[in-house]
Amino acid sequence: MTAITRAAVIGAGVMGSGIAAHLANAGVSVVLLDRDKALADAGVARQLKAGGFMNPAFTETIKTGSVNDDLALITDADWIIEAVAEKPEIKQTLYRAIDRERKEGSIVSSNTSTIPLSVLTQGLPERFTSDFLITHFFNPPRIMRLLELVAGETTKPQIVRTLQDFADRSLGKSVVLCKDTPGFIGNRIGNYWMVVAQNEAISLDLDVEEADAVIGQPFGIPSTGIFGLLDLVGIDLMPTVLRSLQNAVPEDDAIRDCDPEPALIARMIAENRLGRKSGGGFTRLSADKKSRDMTDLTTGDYRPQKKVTSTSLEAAKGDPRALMEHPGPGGLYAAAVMERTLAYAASLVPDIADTPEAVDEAMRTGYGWKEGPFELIDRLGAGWLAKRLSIRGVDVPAYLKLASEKGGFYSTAKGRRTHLLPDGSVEPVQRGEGIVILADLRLAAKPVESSEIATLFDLGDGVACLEFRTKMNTFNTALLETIGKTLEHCRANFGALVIGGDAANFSAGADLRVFLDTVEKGGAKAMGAFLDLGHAIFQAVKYASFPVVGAPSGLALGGGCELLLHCDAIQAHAELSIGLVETRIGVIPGWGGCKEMMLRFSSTLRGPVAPAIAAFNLIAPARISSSAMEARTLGFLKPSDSITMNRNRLLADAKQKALSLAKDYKPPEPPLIPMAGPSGAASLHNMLESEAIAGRATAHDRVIGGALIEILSGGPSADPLKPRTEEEVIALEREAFLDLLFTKATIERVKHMLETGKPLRN
Amino acid sequence: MAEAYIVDYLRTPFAPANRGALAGIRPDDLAASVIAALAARMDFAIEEIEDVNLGCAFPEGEQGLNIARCAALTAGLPQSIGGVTVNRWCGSSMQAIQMAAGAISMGAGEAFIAGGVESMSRVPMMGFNPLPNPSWPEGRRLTFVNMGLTAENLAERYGISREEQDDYSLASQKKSLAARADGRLAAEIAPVGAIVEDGCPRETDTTKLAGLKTVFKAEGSVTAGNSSPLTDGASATLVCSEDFIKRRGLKPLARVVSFAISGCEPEIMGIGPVEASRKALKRAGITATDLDVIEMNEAFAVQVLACCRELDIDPARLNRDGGAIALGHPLGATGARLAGKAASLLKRDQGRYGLATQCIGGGQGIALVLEAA
Repeated sequence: MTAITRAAVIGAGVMGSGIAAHLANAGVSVVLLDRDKALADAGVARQLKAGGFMNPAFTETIKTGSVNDDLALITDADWIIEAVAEKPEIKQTLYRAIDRERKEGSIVSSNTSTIPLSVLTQGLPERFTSDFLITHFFNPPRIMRLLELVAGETTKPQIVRTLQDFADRSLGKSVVLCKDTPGFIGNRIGNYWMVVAQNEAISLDLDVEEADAVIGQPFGIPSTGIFGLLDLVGIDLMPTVLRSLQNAVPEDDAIRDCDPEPALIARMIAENRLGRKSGGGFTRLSADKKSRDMTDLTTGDYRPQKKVTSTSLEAAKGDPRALMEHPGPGGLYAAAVMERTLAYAASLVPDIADTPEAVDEAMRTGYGWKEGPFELIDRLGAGWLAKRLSIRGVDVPAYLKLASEKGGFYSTAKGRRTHLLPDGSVEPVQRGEGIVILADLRLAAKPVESSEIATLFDLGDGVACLEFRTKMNTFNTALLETIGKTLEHCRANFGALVIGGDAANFSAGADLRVFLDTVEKGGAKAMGAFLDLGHAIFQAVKYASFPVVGAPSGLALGGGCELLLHCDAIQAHAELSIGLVETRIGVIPGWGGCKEMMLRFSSTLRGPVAPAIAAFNLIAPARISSSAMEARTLGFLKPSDSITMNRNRLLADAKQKALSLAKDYKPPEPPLIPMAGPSGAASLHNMLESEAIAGRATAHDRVIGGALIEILSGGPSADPLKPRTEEEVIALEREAFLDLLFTKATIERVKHMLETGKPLRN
Repeated sequence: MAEAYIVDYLRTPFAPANRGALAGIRPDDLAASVIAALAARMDFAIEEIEDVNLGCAFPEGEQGLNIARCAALTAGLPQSIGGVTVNRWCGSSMQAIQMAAGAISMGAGEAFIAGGVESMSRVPMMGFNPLPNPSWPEGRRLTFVNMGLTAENLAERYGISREEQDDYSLASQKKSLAARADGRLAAEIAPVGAIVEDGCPRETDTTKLAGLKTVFKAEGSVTAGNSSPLTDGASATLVCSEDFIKRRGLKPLARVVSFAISGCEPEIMGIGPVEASRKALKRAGITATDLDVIEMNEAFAVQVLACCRELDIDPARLNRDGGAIALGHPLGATGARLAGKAASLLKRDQGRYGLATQCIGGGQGIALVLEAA
């Protein structure tokens, strides 16, 4: 298989520059070209600002240039991606130029979202077309996991496999193989859903707020809803895209019945109300910059934003079926949009995809839906939906009829998830090779241990996996005790342990409600016991007789971060927000977080106070990483820790990491921690006071900062010549934590965080 | 006593720390590049140099290991020439010149390279491991290291407004941009590789400056716009005795007339140039009105304005090619830039007396009076 280490992207617009940035995230060296070099540079700058890069330093791996002067730079590229204007003649001219410069065996792909591959390659020599395919990314390429891949009749199967594998492992994409049909899968269904949702809301005179609320959360669709999404996409783009789709789809396709540019949309385009890019679309920031205005769908004018009131939403209580059955305007709207969208999706299989899972995966990973259309149909009931469509006078697609007879699209057989194919056969849903998903394991066999708090799985080869199941995977006494029991169990039965799961977030830390309860009912004694338990468990993780690997993704905050710091190794998903955020609620890391950061920094920074300064600068402002790469720069990840790009491969990679450690494993020797003592404390106090005088640290920040300084400098009796033991630092953490906890200002911070989700700056 | 002269002066381009063009270059390499450039212009056997006095405010990390000796060897100077690192914080390289002049006056050498260097990208201000004495009172401890607070203190004591500071800073930026545009800076800059120009000067205006937030004190007046930026750079002068100059037929820029050091309250360290300048002027037997050239370091606009008030000098007379607010302030390199610049200006603009002076953290001032040669 050809390795892809060098790539070229031509076209530095939103998509091209985003793809280039993500290739850089994957460690690929990239050439980015546009009409002139300045445009390519602007593309890199745009991505830097928009967060397309997982580490700002990655900009250095992108070389920019102009298509006219620098096309020779693509000579080394293993993969050349075209992302220029959606005009076949422009693309074809470029392809001919690319073909003159590219090396033999390089892959060329287009990021087109609308033009069929057959049109793109018309008249081009087979030497070129055999290396050509469509790779359709979704915006923003770093975040959206879907990559639609379309191969032509002459495309070499080998390059499809190469890209499939590279996109999966190195770019972290969910690759869906699509047929060469208009809009492929995501945009065919997505655009239909969007235009129906837009036009139905206009014809029902709904409020934008109600439409977004109804069409969003109850269906597991992102809370931007429909009008929020239109503002993001660009209101002027929709009519163009829809008209092009309407021209390309079969005669009887339902998308042809939709008005691509209702009067309201035409007016908004004429008034340059194009969405976020023009500073306002269906919503804009009000003149006072504090509130928002919304477009009234009846008058077309702006009016102040309203609180959502929907009798249908209230009655449905989050149940989509109850919502669609409700006679209120919200219910009628939900039914009109979702019945048609789901029926449309069912009508397109097998024309656009062979399996329901391909369609569902595309909508989940390309549009951010929690469940794809076929999963939604199963939740609503295929029979129920078919009946509703008949009543509405809409043709019931044959595939939906089939599913209603067979009891739905998905089922389980022999421990595997299956789906119903359009020919009536039932096949297991295929996962990529080497992917470990705990939900699959749960279907296949009973877990080793299971409770409402956590589940212990057998990953095979002597590796266990502990998955937390509390809300946001927060820690309470029961979960800590479960970890303790798991360690006991693993010592007798497994060679290594992975901590991680399927959930989006690793752990949001301690459960604040439990925390507050403990403080208010149990006082210092109860809280002290809770702290001691955490310390004991996390130390037990560190000194277990077998390796423990943390496998975080999403949030790993506070106690979640501290647990990871005690693991032997971390196998992190690239999208990792890790941080010791305790100061936000008025305390300091109390489960060994200070201690572990001091150990990490002591191994990399020399001198008596440099490690403490580094730890202080991380903990006092509650720094959170914006990626696993940044987590490495910040010091949360050690050089020996690893990063997985594809979320679905995280547990598999963590298992491998655990296996590599398990051979001849010896627990670490208890280290000594150098502490700077009072001189170091004086230095840190200078920093803290400077921040306070500058107005960047509040009165309580000073109190918390002071407590943190005591720990990081080792207290008044510390001396750089006499390092502290872990127990001594733990004792300092404990004391500082309890002192802070019983201050009024800290309790106010905790309560404020519980009520608003935001830190109180008191 | 033998007379000492500043014979030649060069500096590297000055670039903003961390994001600038010199951030990737080790400070000893930076110093070596300007020393080598200066050595290349010498019309005499280089072995006749006695010593390399190199100022550095935070001589640790890549600036440690006696950076003066490291830079001299890297520059390819003969091993027979010495190297001494001089530390008086911001006054380090002006001190290096004073040490050269002092040695010459007592016959302990005839020719010296005196300069300075600071990579504020690669060694942070106050160093990697600041360990102040905890027995000091907190206020003293803080103003000893937080220069911005000392500037705020001066603004309060002298009642100098934000507007005055911003106006002064804008003028400094304009002077430096004009000097660069007219090619008046090129003569003193020894390029580092492809880097030939200063990176700090900015096109700005009153509105932009007024919009900046204060950095050091919430309700204060000192901003990034009216302070010198963190900077990377190096400078070097050639200081020789009168005899040496005559023997070798050199054309000096200026004679070192007098110099002085003074101490002041650390809490208002920016006022340091006042007493130091008074002492140096008195030793030279002249007054401020006799000065044709004044190079006063612009650590902060407020500190320059306070000093001008005390010394009764019109701020418009200072720093005719722009000051540190615009050009940058690589701590250890600034003193030799000011002295070399003053000497060059006396020659270029045909003045007689010149003054170079700076404030120094921890509460000190340093000053040097020159006379056109």
